[in-house]
Amino acid sequence: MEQKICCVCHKPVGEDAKTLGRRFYCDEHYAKVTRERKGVWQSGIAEIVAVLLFVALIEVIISIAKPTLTGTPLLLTGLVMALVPAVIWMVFFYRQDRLEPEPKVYVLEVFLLGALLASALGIPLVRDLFRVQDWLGQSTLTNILGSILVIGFVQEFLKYAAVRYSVYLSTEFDERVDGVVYATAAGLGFATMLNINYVVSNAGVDLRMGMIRIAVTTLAQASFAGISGYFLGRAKFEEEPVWWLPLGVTIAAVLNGLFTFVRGEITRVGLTVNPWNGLILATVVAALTFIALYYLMRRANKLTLAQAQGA
Amino acid sequence: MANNKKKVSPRDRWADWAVVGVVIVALLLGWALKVSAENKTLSYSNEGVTVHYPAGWLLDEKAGFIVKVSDPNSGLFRTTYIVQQELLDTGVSEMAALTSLVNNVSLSRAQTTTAYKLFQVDEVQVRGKSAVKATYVYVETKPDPFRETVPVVVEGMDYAFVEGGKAYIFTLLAAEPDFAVAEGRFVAFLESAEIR
Repeated sequence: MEQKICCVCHKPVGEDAKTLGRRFYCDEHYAKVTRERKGVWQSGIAEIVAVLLFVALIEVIISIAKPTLTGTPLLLTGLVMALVPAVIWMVFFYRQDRLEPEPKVYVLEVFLLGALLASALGIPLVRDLFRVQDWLGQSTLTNILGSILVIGFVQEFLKYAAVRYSVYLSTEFDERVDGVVYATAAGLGFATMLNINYVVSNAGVDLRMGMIRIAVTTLAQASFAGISGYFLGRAKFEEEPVWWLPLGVTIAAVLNGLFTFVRGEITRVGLTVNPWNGLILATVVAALTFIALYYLMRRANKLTLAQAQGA
Repeated sequence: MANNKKKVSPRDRWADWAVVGVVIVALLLGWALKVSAENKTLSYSNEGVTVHYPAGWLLDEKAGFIVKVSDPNSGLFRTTYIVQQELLDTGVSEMAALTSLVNNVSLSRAQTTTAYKLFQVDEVQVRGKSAVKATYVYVETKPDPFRETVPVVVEGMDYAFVEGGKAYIFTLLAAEPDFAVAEGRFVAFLESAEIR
């Protein structure tokens, strides 16, 4: 008879081992899989609030000091601004995840992998191979479809890959919610590299416009990555159908593409640009995504516990 | 990076491949959309000439030419197509008159541009008839009138031919790095023009 082993730690388990789908668990990892980890969600919401406060702080500084930076100081200020949202998240995450923090090295590595994939593949594919900037604006339909099929799928697949082909199979990925944690880290890495590229390619940016754009990119990339992360988290610990992961990446890509399109539409006002509309949209989308993921995860955990009690 | 990795079950492996498959299909569809968008054209008629220029390009009806269209997304210097009609010297052979016409255009361009250099003037076939083709280069010192930028090296190409008893010059101007790609599309633009 085939020996039953825990799908997380791969240690043998008894005949009466607990199961999710057709996967076996030792007692320790079964308890972990369904853990709530409120700190993860609190750090997500705190990140949104903190990024908005940071935008407000920059706005106040600009209004009072009216800085006139040029050249290298402007470039360096832009680069620091590009890194701030990721640092804020790391700080909140580790402050609120004291009970069982994810290994810092793993989270950092996934963050760096997300950034590396953005730089090595994400940006070159979208900008240089597909050259979306040349044809996306041709019509509304082309804009929507191109944003989903090219920008959405390239970005969301790379963030998914940063988790799936690194930490996903390790024993540190031992809770459903870890999918959201690591995918958010990958999304933040991806966003940070997009922001650095934006600052460097413009040789520094207008502080107000730059800060808003950095905040919007960060909130959007982290939230859409969280969607793939939710699907990854459930795929590892439950017996989901083959289409489950493709569905997760597709939902994230469609939302990413639609967001890209809508943001472009609402920030253009005639011949001028109003970036605040984009920030409002990104904040609403990020908040709704995290709340939706929180309830979905909670529901999955409750169902699992109810099944365990019924068994 | 990860330790104690577990063996992947066949179902998980299929799920992985399914994700890759979905992404490849999406990108292929995206590529088809890109090709379709890039090949989409708009029509414009003026003085008996109908051209089909790339959708998304800007038409300048006040430039004093039969047609002038430019690509707003082609960087500092906008890739530009120009169609103009010129008077032909009737006292000499058609090819000699076209060569003289191209040389005259070249001379006047040399007076209005920086570092102008005519590369070559050849006899070629376009639209099923003999034509004269001139290639040249110059430096656009202020490609963006609204901000300070570095000058751009511009490559140009003129096709001069006679059709319906009138001489036409079709011109392509593009920044040097974009010229090779632009040339193919420009020839298609030239061949698809309808002249009454």
